[in-house]
Amino acid sequence: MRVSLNKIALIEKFIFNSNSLYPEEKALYESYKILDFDFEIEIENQKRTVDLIMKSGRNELRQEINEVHDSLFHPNSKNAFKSRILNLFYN
Amino acid sequence: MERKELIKQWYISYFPKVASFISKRGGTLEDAKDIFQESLVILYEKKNTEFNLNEEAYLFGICKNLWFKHSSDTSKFQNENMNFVQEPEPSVDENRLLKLLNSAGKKCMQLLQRFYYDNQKTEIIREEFGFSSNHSTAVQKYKCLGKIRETVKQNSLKYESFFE
Repeated sequence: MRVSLNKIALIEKFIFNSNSLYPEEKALYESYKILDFDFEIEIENQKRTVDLIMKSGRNELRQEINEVHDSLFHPNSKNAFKSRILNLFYN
Repeated sequence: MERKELIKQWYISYFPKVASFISKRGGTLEDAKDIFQESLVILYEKKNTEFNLNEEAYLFGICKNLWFKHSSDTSKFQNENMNFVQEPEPSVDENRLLKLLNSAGKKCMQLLQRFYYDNQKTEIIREEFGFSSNHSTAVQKYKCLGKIRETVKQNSLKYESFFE
């Protein structure tokens, strides 16, 4: 992989499981911290990016759940499941 | 199994029990829907990391907790699951950034969601996206992460406003 991609992979390993870093990875990480002034900012940006990806995934899941609900409870649909649920609230 | 199919199965298997529980306590269909849907999100995320989960017991437990929270002003029924539900609503800036990421880097976001949100194995993602090897799948993952990270960085001013 390119150096920049290896750096992203190293940050990922540090974020999710820093205990699993090999000694040479730890050494590389430490040298980035000393030599690269933007390294800490890169770590923060990567954490935030993953956080946004998680939020986006959650939004998409919520949308799918809602679509399933709408399909089961569509005003035009007549199914036993829908009737069973509506009976609980309206009878 | 496709995710929507799994959600439908959960709905058919578990929603009647939850709806019955809530209707007996004076709740509405809308209450039951909201509580059940929020619980499904928690169940889905839990299942991605815990494979031997008793999903029915877990789901019903969450629903009960959410119902008690909904119907009571006290916090005595709250547990750790509530932290998730109480997460603050995303700000306008955050929503804008999410929209931007999803439109400008849709394919990348889909790939990264499979890795991070769905906690899916590399082999499965490789097949799904048609990559030739696990290595090229990993390379693409980090390329995408770099690209999305750059977009986030470029929008850092907006971004800071909702993370601080």
